Amino acid sequence: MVSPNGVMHMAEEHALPLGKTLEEERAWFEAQVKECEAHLLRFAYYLTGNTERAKDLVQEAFLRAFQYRHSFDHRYPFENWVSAILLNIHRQREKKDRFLKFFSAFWQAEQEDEAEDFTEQLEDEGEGPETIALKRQVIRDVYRCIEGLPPKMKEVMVLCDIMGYSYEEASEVIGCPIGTVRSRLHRARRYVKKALEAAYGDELLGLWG
Amino acid sequence: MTSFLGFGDENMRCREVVRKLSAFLDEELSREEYLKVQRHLEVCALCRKEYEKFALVRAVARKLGDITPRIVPEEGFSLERALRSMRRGRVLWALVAVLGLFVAFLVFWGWQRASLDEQILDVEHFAAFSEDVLTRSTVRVETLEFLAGEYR
Repeated sequence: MVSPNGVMHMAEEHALPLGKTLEEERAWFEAQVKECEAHLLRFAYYLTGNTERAKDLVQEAFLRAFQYRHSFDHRYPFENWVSAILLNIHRQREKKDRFLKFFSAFWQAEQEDEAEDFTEQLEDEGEGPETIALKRQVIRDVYRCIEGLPPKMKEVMVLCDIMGYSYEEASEVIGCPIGTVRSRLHRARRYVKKALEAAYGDELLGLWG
Repeated sequence: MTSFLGFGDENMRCREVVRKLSAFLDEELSREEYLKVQRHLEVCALCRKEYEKFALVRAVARKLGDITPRIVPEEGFSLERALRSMRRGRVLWALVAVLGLFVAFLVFWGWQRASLDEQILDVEHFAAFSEDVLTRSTVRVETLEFLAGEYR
């Protein structure tokens, strides 16, 4: 869209290729959602550590994304944009949970949910049952460490290591400079490394082939 | 130049190298820095050990990402459904708000009523009191007049 004086407006330039009607907007949005739903579910799962909460989080993120669809900038991937929204909602919920936890002594008991063991999916690559059991144990330990990280470090570790984002993409999702992502990730890995060192001692390096 | 603190070559000290190991693993360093770290790792066994530990943490976390937990959305996200549930939520909140306002009004009304009763009581008391005062003052005036007559 070019205005009479020849200036291209940012908002118009990167507006959605939505078409004119609400129906077309919805169709476009649902197509985008279908593409990235599984990915976002994984992201939400690693943030919350719970399937039900992950589903709920993704649902709300999509809804909010639809409400603010006109602020989506087409230069960036849709997935990253919704990831950023999801992360914001997650942060808000964490804050609320912390507040509730402060006032409710029984919150911890309510929070107890099924600890899913998805390490069963680790395939045996002809290494033998002992090695595979050990690997599963290491994965479980690392997962527990990541769950116990401070929220900001956890976000970066989930994005960069588990989801495989680059530093630049992670910085877009989190909304901070790349340098911050770099230092947070380093600290997070150092934390996990120390925990593993404490658990396995000198055998640590021989654990992973 | 060898560094002053700790082992080092080409101005890279172990401490600096360790701080950059994470970014080195992800190949997120500038080419110059990358080469410096690489050169350092070739000669420094301690840093190499640290590097291997960081690499292990990274590899395990990546593996963790590969074995996706089984999350199957039952029906997938439906905009229609989500919007409907959102609207339902809004209606519920609106009802709660209306109910709250009604209760607040009732409380306020009751309080007003109570305070009105009190005010009426106050007025009655005041009337009784002023009546009393008036009677007394009339008596006093009459007495004064009588005394004045006597004096004359």
